[in-house]
Amino acid sequence: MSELVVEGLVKSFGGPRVLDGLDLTVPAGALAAVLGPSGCGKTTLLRVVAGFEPADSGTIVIEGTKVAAAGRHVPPERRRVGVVPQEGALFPHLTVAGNVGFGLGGRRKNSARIDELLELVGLAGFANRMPYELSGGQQQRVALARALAPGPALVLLDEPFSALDTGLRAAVREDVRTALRATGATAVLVTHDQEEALSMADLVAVMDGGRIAQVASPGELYAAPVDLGVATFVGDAVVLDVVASGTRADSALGPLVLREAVHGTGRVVVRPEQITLTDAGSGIPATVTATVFYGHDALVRVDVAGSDGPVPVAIRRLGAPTDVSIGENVGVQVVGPVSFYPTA
Amino acid sequence: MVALPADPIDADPARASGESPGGARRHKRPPAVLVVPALVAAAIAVLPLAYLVVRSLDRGPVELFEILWRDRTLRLTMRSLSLTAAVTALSLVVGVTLAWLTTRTTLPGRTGWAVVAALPLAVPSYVAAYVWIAAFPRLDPFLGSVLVLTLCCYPYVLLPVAAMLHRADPALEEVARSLGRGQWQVFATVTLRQVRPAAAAGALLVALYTMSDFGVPAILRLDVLTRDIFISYRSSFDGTRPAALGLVLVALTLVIVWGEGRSRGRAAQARIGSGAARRHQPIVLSRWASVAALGWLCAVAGLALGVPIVSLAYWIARGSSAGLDLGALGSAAASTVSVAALGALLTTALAVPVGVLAARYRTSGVRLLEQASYAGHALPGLVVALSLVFFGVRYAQPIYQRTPLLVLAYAVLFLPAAVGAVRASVSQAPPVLEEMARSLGRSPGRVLRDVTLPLAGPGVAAGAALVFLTVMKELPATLLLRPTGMETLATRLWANTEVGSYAAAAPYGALLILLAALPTFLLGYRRRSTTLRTGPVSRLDRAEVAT
Repeated sequence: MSELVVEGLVKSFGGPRVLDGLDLTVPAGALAAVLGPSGCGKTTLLRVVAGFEPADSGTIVIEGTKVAAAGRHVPPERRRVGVVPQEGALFPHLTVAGNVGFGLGGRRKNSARIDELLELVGLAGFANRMPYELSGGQQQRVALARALAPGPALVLLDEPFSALDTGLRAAVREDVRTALRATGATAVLVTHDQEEALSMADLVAVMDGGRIAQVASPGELYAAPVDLGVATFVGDAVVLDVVASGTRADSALGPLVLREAVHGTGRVVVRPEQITLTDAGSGIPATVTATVFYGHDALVRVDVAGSDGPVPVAIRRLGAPTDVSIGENVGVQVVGPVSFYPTA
Repeated sequence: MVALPADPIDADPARASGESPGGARRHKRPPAVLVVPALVAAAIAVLPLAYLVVRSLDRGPVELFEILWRDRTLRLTMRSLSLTAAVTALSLVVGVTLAWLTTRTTLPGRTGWAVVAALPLAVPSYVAAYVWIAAFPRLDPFLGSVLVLTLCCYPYVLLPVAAMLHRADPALEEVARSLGRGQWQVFATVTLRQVRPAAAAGALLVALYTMSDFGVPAILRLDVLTRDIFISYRSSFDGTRPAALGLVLVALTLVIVWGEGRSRGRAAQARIGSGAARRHQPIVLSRWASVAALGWLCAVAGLALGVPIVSLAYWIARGSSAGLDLGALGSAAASTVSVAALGALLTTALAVPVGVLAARYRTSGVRLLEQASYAGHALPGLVVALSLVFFGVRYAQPIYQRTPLLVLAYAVLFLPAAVGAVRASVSQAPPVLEEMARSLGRSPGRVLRDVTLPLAGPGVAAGAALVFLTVMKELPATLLLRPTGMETLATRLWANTEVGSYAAAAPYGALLILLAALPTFLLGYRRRSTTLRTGPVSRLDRAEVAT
């Protein structure tokens, strides 16, 4: 039963705490994404879990084995943790086969295992190439094969796609996802890219200030963020002041349906794709201020009347916004429930 | 998905400083598999200096004080100092003018001259001394030593200054011109200031070399500290006097090394940006200026290269008519190669743990170890040899006047260069590769063997080759510590010169020049890319400054 359990992890480099009592549990076979802004400590988390840095305090349990605890630091070579670093970091003096077979130790009959892994990452026949003969995406696949080869209890991926071109990134992501699924490995992916986290992971942990702010499935995280910070980090958000009574809240966009019954003043987060445009006269009256076309979708920015002047609202629609023009009066309407956050 | 542009959260994918893996290494404990051998290396490196102090106090501090408080000690010290001052000043003049002429003017054939001007690096100074005394037997000891050492040492100044002139941002000089300064005013107020740190660093290396040099004053019979130490060691059974004078000499070289370290720091700060993208507009020399410049270059090249070549050719021709002793030459060459190979092997083996630690773990303990391994940089070869002789006689009789003690002396002398080479090549291998190897199940020792050393291998091997070639022409330690009956190329040249058999010495001199030229040609290119970051420039020959 592979599983990662991190409890109360603390790490500092002589200054403020980079990891400040962090807790995280990843169930067996799951791919968890640790999502956070640059400098939030997610790479440090990964390095401490891998054993490259000793923890100041807290415990780490990998597959039932305590690898870090008070007075205990299992060195990286005995943790059974595979690592895929940012730039692949293949051994430049070894062939692809040499790289993939590196963790297999002195065991003979490695070549079958190497071929199997190269096939898994879609690089069958590349065994005798040198790393400099590979493209960036191919290097990352070899790095994954190398990490998977010894059959690790846990695979850690440190922003493995950030060095790739946008076009290549999606393809490599999908392949990596497939390969991880095929081996059933438990994996932790560190990223600052919310699209990457939401699209790849079974579980997303949002990290901020050295702690995990929320762990949830991608859908749940996007729909019901635990606080405004998480809400605005995992996607575009329209934040509105509201007064709630029960599951109903009154806002500049009219009455909204809340996920849970509450009372009092606070804010709600409405996702731009939850808002639809209607003809003037129905819904809440609004005025188009700008349109931004992105190809597959577009943002229409409108102002609605609020108690303290106009409130800007963004609306996401598929296709080109050819039917609206700036200055036009339209109606807007919110579909589905929204999350409420009380004002402190 | 569209990111809101105002969202500061995912603005910068760069990592925060606290997370940088390089910085984190500072807090890590280095593994014992490296620390233990590094401690051995450091202990060996400081042994000669430590034992020299112990030995000079053999008869108590009063006796030591009396030896030091003699007129003769003062006279020797003053002569060593004036020789050093004269050679340093002249090397500055020659080095800076040649550097400027070959980098910044329209001198005819200046790229060719740039190569020729650096060639004297390939003439070991004691070979040059032999050549001059053979050609001019009545050469004045002081003036002769100044001349010979200047001709051998000026490239120490030339190379860093030329590099600086090449690299300096032309915009500074252009701005000065646009502000109304003339060409020569700009040279005096801007250019000279830019090269000052490089020239100072080079000058201090010249001073260190001159102060430590044994071969030139010994062959030209100039009474300076090194020669007197050698003579008093040879002529008495009591080691206290040479040991005491050795301490004086070490005190002087330590002052120079300290100054060198300081000037290095400044030179680094004075370096400008990432270098000049544009070429400097060369200064147009008038016809007469060109003639004068060419005359100056020809004079320096003639004295530094022409005299040795002509003199060696003359003596070889004269000697071969009398019959060349090929057997002696062959056996000297063979023993030279074998002790040099052993020296390079031991030096590199000791340098690897220190160099890897220095490149990977920046703890204060590691820094101390690294500095200890650099002791040989400040110690004259003669002093190291002397101290090991005393040590061997008293505590290591079984290896005294045998190969192991000689090889140990080489290790002390050339450890700084080898550590520098290891450190530089390991620094270039990314640490993330070692972490990958660890996470794939390799222990620290096996990571060193399977990843670090294969990656750093070419650089380490180049360092070993350089040590090998440098050991082959080492004189004072070989002279004092060689096994009884063993002769190397350097000791043969020395012995023949001492008794005035100049013709018999000539083939050894020619062979030594060829050997010394090898690293300049083979490794010159490689060194250009790696030096400067390797810590103090070592005695790995004068070519080391060729950045």
